[in-house]
Amino acid sequence: MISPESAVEQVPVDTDQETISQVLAGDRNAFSLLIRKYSDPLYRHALGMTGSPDVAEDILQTSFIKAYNHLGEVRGRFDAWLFRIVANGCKDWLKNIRRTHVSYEEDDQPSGYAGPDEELDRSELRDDLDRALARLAPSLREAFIMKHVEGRSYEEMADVLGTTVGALKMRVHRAREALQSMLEEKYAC
Amino acid sequence: MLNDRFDASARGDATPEFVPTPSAGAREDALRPEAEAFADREVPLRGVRPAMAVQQWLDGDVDEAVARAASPADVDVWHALGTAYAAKADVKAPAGFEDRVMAALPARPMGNIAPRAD
Repeated sequence: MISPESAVEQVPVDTDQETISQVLAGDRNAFSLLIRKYSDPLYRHALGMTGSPDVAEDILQTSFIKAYNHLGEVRGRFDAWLFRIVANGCKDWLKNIRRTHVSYEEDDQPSGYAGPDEELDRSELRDDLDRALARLAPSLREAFIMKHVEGRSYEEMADVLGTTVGALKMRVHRAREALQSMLEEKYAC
Repeated sequence: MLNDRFDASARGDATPEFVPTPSAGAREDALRPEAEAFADREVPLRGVRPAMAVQQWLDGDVDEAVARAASPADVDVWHALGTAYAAKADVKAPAGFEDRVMAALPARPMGNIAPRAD
């Protein structure tokens, strides 16, 4: 269920190296091809991790600029390298938020959950899923989003994150346990 | 109805063993995304859900029928959640994003600029 093929998987990686060569040779505009190719899946990741469209865009913009400035240092797959820049940006932001306790959501909602007789619609469930995701440890949230929102395989996740399939399965399983527990707690009569 | 699916007591299930510490409200939860987060643990707790067969189904390792035989309620929960995060999978970067990034880029990658000799 819910395994849309990400743009990252659909694009041959070799073309990235050609584009990078063009940029490094002075064709600045060629970088827009990389932005166009990767901005959607990376934005989904950043939005899932931060829960804020504005923050997600800021992190993504900063990441692309950082990638551009260090393009000559790319070794191996560009998409994995770029993903790590974005993922680290999200984690840094989460650390900073935790340290400063500054709210990043204007519409933090009171806990007015649906009563037992109230029908739950999709938007309510989406909101509750967002809240539940925000309560997960970043490593669990990251693994769940990569698996279920970005539709990546465990093997691809392991490749990008530099860890093992077993470790990632454990994180995704724990994320599911936690999400189900939290959502059941809210909606149980 | 979805609420019925979430009714753990109706299924005679025990209270989940790792219920997060109650907080003053959702606002505090949003402010402290990690403070009350679930700690990493290497060994799965006994009795937690979804059932292992459901986890395997969500991983693509077994058919839905196998998962449903183990825990139909869990399967229903994850079908409902699937509709919620399917919407997230369609999200795209904001309009004009590419142009904003391009406008913010320097003329050449800074890493390629040779350091000054002084």
